[in-house]
Amino acid sequence: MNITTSIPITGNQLNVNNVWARLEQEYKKDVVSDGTGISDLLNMIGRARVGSSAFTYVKDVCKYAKLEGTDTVVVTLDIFVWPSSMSLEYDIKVDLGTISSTQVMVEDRSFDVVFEGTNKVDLPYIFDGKFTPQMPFISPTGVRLLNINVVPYKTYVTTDKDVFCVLRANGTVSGYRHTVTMALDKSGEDDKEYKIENLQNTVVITWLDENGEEQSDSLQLEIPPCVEGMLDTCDNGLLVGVIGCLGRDCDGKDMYVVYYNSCDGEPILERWEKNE
Amino acid sequence: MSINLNTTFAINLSAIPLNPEGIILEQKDFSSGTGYTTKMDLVTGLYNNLYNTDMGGNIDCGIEENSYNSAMYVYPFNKELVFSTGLTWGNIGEGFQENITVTEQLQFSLDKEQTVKYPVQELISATWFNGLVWDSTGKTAIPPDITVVSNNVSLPIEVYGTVTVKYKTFRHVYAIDIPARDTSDGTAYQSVGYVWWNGGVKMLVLQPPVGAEEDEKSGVNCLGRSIVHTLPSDDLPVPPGEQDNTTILINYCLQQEM
Repeated sequence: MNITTSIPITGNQLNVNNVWARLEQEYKKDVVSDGTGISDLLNMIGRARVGSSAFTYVKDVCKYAKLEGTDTVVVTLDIFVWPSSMSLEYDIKVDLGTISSTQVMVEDRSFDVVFEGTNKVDLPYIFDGKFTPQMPFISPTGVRLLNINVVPYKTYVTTDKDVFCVLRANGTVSGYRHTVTMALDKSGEDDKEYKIENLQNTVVITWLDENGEEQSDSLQLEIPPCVEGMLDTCDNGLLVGVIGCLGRDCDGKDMYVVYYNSCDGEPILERWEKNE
Repeated sequence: MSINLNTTFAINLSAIPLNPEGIILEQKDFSSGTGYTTKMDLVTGLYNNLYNTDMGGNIDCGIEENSYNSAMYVYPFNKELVFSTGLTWGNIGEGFQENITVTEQLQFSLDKEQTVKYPVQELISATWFNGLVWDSTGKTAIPPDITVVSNNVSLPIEVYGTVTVKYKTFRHVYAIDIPARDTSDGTAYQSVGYVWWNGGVKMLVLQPPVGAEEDEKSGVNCLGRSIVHTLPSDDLPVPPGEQDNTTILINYCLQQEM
């Protein structure tokens, strides 16, 4: 699993305390939204060309939610805890649902570290690897510097003078993964479903800093659009799809019908029916 | 007092030399819509696919063969400044020089100093909007002289008013080509442009076209990606509102409206 870090790391980003922790959600809402794409449309065209129904094309199954039974949507979202030390003890809580115990995570990562006239840049996670200069070391007065020592520490990197420079970090980052699980009941009165809107959930982590004072970080979870779709009302739960007369005389006498659940796209029943 | 609205008021181009230090560093903007696919592009693409045609389209991913092209602009405050340039990742061209004309509007709200964006090499015009300014009592006043030094625009008195400043600035242009690194962690195109001279350094984090990092991570481009970027204005069209019927009478012989 790879995590996007599109913004290079610059100096003085994090708190100055030596003991810290940072929350990050695995799912990132970005410009690449979860809408219908060209490949979805081409898939539907392909299905129609071979006599299947474009209607019954189901986009990628939402990997963050699934239907359990007929009324319960179970949502699972992963978060990361990036601590200043792997021995940091912390408490983690979530407003809604449950949160799993820690799972140690070590992942490959590469990114730029930018020095802008400083001699220290904090890193957002525990990093173990190499730092390679990508340009000459230049002093704030525009003088090229030679023989600059780059000294990496677990959560920051230093140079022996104030410099302008970019280092490329290549190595591994270490932290913890937790899974937040929410079981949301959509059943209402008279067996009618209702929709769940504006789902909000916040994770809070607390720890003691080097002075023994409690510190915290919180994260409001980003809800993926496909999850919001699963939480929406499923009117009648059915949608009829019609497939062309595959392998049969297409004289309009009958048609192949697929009934599927419009909430999760799972086919419920497929059969030939008279076109009356 | 009558005011000629088209008058360019007295301008004092200061004899003080431009700020000898300092550089403005910028990246060239991508063309509007780069990295986005509009619904019309989508329909055109589907039409081409269904009917084996090549209607062409306006999709520009901004990425070609796993690299993107852009440019770095260096605006020195001192035209004679000697400096060096570089990129932390990618290729930078030889560079050439050019003068461009820039128009900006400055809003004075009872202050005496504003700045334009770039160093001014030659002031072409500075025109007060409608030829009007107001003093602190709200009364109209005589538009004051404007003094331009480097990129500072200053007035001798505090007034309310809007002035449109048109000026020439000088810049160096460096073509850049940023290829994708062999990595799938979303940092394939990370690069920093830098300029240094005797006296200072400037750095600029370069930005790839929208969606480029995600596409590189997924192994597709914006034509074949499974997710389509759409412009905010590309949403469903607003249904037309109700309008009154209009009757227009035309003289058929004269083909003129009666």
